[in-house]
Amino acid sequence: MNVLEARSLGVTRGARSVLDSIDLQLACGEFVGLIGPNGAGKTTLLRALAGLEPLAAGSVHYDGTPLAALAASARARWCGYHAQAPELHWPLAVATIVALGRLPHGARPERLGEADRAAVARALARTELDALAARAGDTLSGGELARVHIARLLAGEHRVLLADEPIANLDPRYQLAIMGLLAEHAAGGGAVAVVLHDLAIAARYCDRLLLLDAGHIVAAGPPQAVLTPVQVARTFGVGEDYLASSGVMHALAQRTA
Amino acid sequence: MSASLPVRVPRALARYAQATSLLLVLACGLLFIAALCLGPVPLDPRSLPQLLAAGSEQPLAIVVREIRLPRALLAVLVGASLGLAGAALQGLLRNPLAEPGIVGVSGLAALAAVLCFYTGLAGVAMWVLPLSGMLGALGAVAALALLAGRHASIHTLILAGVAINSLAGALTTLVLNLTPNPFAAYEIFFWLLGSLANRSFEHVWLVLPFTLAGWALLLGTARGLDALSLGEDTAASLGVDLARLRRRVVLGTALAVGSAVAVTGVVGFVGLVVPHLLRPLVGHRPGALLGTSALGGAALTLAADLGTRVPLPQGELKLGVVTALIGAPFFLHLVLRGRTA
Repeated sequence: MNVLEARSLGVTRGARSVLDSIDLQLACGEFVGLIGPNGAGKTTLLRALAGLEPLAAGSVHYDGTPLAALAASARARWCGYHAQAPELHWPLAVATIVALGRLPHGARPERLGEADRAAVARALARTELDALAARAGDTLSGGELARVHIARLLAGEHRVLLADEPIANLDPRYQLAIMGLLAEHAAGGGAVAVVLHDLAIAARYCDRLLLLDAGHIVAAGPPQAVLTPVQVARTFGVGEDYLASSGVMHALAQRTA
Repeated sequence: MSASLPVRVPRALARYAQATSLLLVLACGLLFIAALCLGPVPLDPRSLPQLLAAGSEQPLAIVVREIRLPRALLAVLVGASLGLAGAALQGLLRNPLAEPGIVGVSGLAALAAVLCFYTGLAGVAMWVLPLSGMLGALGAVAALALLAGRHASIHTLILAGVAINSLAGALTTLVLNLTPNPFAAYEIFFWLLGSLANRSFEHVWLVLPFTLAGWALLLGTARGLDALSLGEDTAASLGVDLARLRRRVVLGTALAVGSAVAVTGVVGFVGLVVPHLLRPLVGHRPGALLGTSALGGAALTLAADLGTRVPLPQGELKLGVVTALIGAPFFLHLVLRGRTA
């Protein structure tokens, strides 16, 4: 069943078309990667799916309901969004930031219910932030802060997760850990769409890839069908040997093994 | 499943904020009593209940009921408005330097009020003065919110405030220049310095409805401002209607600060100093800072107004002068610290 669907989606900036006639379906249990060169429209697509971008054409549907007909609060409970460069404007405590993820459920950081506390505790534990819970956000390293934002996303217990480069700023260990958590969310019946730049990681974790170029989806399907030497060379402008040297071939071989 | 230790952090911070608020309520109470007792004729606090009781016609009772009580009440109303509006503006603009005085809100409100005096409109009806103050404030906050909506940097906002302030200052001076009657000019000039002296219950009733409406709007923004700590996109994804949040803060600030300025003149820096001092005590959460800053603003304004009563041979100090003497060095300190950070 499709939990999230975009029908002939279009987004424009002034006279320039950023996204054009995008069709995509996201089903329960699916982990989809959005890949493509810089400026292809990946972030705009994710924002449009999250309801943060005014649409010039087409529509987004959550579980069959058009996004426009959905209250902001309902949309927020349904779908969690991780921004490309998450901001933190005040040195809030780590546990407070994560607790803000419960806002869509009507909970405020100072008044968390039983379910909210359990969700926050789980998110902190899964991102290995227990020991940092009382630390102020401005005393954390970039990687620690990135994990805090992931924990905030997970604490919302959304059906659909949309994450824009969630593993930028992370060392390899946590890159794998966070991708693992997102894959777990999909395996548990949720749906996940992630913008990724690391093609090897995309090949390793995603069930399906959407390759964007200049506002269009130019290829879609399982990683081995999308990450072909010809396709990658054409959209990313890199030599065909890139796939081997960047570990993508290895990751693809492991999938089929 | 019992809550593990890490999850109790927000709750512990909230308790801390509650304790802070309680202490501030206590401070406000004590300062309020002091405001009733201190003055040219000092009073024993124990005689207050009897003096405040209706019916007593002793001269001292009149002094307390009709001079000191409205003055103390106005200090609470105006101080709380300034503290609350400062905290809300800082939360909305995500900038600790935003303050009704610094960003030009008070200045434009004052200009509108001065124009009201000059044209004689103020004499038409009592409510014309607070209304014009609110319109002036509305213009300034709306301009700032527009700027902030376009991702203006801290510097842009402060510079916009400087521009609004200088324009308002120049136009106010122009009005003073054009005032034919030197006594009227003198009166406007002293009004501009910000003062709670010689205000009556009429003034209290005049600002009360607007002030309360402004507070209601501003206190309702706590959830949105909390979410905004994570940036506009994340806040929107958490279900916050950003346009509505912005409207609430703009309108609430205009109502509370505009009406306050119309009655007391420009009392600067309360909205800067108070949220800054209290922020660490509430775990830096903008939503928790709103109510606390209102209490802190009331306490600081009551205290500063007591400071104006230090007997000087030339008469009273002005409240706006006292708050500026405290606040301006504080502002410089913040700016300098921001440079090194």
